[in-house]
Amino acid sequence: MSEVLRGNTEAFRLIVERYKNLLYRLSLSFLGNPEDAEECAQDILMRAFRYLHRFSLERRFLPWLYGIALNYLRTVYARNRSREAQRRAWECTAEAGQASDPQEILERVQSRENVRAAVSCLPRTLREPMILHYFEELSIATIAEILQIGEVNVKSRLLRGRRELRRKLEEGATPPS
Amino acid sequence: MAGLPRTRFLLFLLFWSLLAVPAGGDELSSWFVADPRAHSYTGVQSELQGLIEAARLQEVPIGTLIDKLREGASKGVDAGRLIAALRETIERMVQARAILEQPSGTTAGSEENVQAFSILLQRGLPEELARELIAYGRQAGRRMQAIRTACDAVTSLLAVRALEDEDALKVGELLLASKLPVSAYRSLASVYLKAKASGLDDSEVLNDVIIGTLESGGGIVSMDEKINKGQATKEAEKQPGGSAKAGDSQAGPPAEPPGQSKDHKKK
Amino acid sequence: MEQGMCNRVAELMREWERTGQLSPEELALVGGHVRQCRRCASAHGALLPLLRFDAGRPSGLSAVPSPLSGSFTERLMGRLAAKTPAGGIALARRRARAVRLPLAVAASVALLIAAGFLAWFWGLRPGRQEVLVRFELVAPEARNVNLVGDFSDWDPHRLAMKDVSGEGDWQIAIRLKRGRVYTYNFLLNGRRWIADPSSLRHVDDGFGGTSSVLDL
Repeated sequence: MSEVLRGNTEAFRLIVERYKNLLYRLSLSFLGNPEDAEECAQDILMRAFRYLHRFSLERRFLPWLYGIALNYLRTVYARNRSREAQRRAWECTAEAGQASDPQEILERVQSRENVRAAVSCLPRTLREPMILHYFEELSIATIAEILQIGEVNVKSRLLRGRRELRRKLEEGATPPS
Repeated sequence: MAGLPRTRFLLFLLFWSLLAVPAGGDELSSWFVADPRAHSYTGVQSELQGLIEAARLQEVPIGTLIDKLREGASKGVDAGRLIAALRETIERMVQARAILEQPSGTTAGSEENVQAFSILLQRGLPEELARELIAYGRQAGRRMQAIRTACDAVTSLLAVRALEDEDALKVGELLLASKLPVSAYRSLASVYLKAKASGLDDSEVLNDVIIGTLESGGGIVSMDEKINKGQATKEAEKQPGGSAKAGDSQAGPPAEPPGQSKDHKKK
Repeated sequence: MEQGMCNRVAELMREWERTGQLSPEELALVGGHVRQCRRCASAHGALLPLLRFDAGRPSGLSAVPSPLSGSFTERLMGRLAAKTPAGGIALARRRARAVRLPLAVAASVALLIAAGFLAWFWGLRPGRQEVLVRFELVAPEARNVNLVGDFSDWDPHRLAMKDVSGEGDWQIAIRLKRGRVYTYNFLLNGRRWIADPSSLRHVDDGFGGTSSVLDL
């Protein structure tokens, strides 16, 4: 990191190698599409490079990088998101519920993509902590640092996220009007 | 060749550092040099510079701040008041930017949106309501211009009538979910005033005229018809024997609701 | 018995929802039941990966279905090397071979000017339409009225309104860009600042008065 801050562009390559998969996975959790996610991961790293002069070595790099990523993903998510995409996410779960065999139901609803799609339909304040916790497997403390909210607030949002998911699934996954 | 990548990177950092810090100072310095009105504030130039640079670091659009300085200078305010107003403007714009850092829209429109939302907050739009409407609008796939105009409509409505947050949110969401042209959103406050002037009470105006119409897919013309109908009903109720039938329109086609039309002459 | 198990699972789900915690035994109970119960599979199946995570088991959610392309890093480093904000760094790169620091500063200033030009040009692109907006004020008592606002850099003399009737019907029409928000006042007789009475959009100007807002 200090090498990059001293002006060594090639040192940034090490940062890219270390964090590219993480950013790709995070982008995929938001966007669902591998091509979009890859492009998004590139854009996030470009932004990280651009804003590196604001990074202080006294801070932890990972939460800072996640912060840059989330700011960018919010814009891209909003641009890509449409009612149609939301409807498809819920239809998948509703259709799966029509199957008669529980095993068949489980196979369809438990897929990463289906869970991701359901979580991505949550409101932003709930969606982000849910993705950071369940898909990025981050601790409450780290999520609090990234989102710049208290740990109690993170736990509260996770509770509401779980509740909202459970409620929608129990209602039979009625598509939004 | 070995030194070339380092020089390139130095130029790159220098380019961004020049953009990051002195540009704000350049705009302020330009104002002091070019504008005779600024001369009254040379004593506080360094304090203003500090505020501008702090605002720049928080990604507040500097142009709007310079406009505020020009406004204060034109209005002949003292230095203390100018600094206080600038500080308040910066705080509001930081607040607006934070709200918009959720789905924030394209970068090309962001300066206008930051300024617009800063003004909406100043006009009384509750921050939480702004966040909810922005989130709702984005989820509904609406463009930022529509979201901003819906927030403007709700803010104008709040200015003429104290609404519960829940009702204000409902109105904003209904606007964004409706097929109404975005330009029609701005008529909402005028519709409210016309409805009140015609004798309808607050609950009728909000629930029947505005929310009821939007929920059923109607628009401003439908609201106007409801107002006229409601007015006719009330007048019929006042008449002994009630001779006028509800639904008779008063006089001719629905009148244009009074609004911000610049063609409308004030008498 | 079946209904009893459904109720037990529902209770565990509510507890999990509240605490975000689940023991491996509880996870096994839920997992075992949903494999046999269609209704519970529909209601709770999608949440199993989350339950697994909270029970300390692998959830599979952190795995990606398709890997990142092999050329990712090279493409990114290429973008980094070629990045040219406002077309300027390409120019600076050619000069950098023989440049000393003072000339590098001059090159950066040129970049700023180029960026400023592009920002101005970008403001005039199609989509940033202009509209003609007419402002009116009835003020029979005024000798002169000026429209003053962001669009005139708050210059009190730039936009003098015209009394079209001779009886105090002051008007002016100006072109403004769509998509922008403007604040403005009318200035009567060079001394009195008022907001536009025909506008519903007023805002405290921060100087003890009120301005009007126009959002195009």
